Amino acid sequence: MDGTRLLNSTLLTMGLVVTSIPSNTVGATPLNTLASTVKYDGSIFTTRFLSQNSYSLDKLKFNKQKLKTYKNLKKKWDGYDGDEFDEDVIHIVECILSDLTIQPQVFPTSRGTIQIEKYFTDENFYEIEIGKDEIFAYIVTNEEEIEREVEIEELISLLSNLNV
Amino acid sequence: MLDEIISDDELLFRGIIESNWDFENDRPSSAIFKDSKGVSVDRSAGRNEEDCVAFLREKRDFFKVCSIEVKRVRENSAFVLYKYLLDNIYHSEIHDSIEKIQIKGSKAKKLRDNLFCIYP
Repeated sequence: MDGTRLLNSTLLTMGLVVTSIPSNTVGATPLNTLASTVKYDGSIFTTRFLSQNSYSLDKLKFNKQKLKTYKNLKKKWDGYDGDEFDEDVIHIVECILSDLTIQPQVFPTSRGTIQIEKYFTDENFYEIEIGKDEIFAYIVTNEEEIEREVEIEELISLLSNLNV
Repeated sequence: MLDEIISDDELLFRGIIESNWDFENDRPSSAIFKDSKGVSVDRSAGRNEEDCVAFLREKRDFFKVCSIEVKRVRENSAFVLYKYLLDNIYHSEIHDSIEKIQIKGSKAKKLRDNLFCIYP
């Protein structure tokens, strides 16, 4: 087993994963110095805890694949009178998803908007409806409830600050 | 054509496709209530549940079928409108209110919370 694989497998056992390790720097770091950051040769590498909600490239890929299928949905796709999806809306959602560490679930709506939603608990969740002309947020946390139109930048900030 | 007045104890049925099912929480997403033209449903109008489901599934083999009591829709300040179609005398719509069609945010979530999955 080479140095990179040994380090990563040990970190995974500890519940940590190194997000960025240059190949020429692996192999000399004492594992007992690893905590929430990994220091080596003066560089700091961030780490993330593995949990059900942690960053998942697979979930992001899955969501992006799902979005691609929306491009092919024809009128009445929902068994009723569902509208088709504008490519701009799909692109906006792709951009938002790429900025989120914890991936939500993605759902199409009959009016051609796309909803992203994540329930951490019944009192801590968000449902965001993304359309071409409006992003409407419904965010509930233990501290507050937000229900209004938001801009993309504000949305990313709001979702990043959710207490999970 | 049926009686225009929909009573509080009637049920409204909606077919759900797989894309709108929240598999993490085993329920539909509130996204099903987001339609600018009104949320299409079938009213029960004296039929039993089995007949309502069978009628809905004649048109499409829905992944799930859910129902909501008219009383619950009204308690959440939404509006139910009987709007029959030539090929569906039971067709009705749920609107945000008597003045506004489109449902958003918390109201859609509250309606979703009052749904019961009755098929399969």
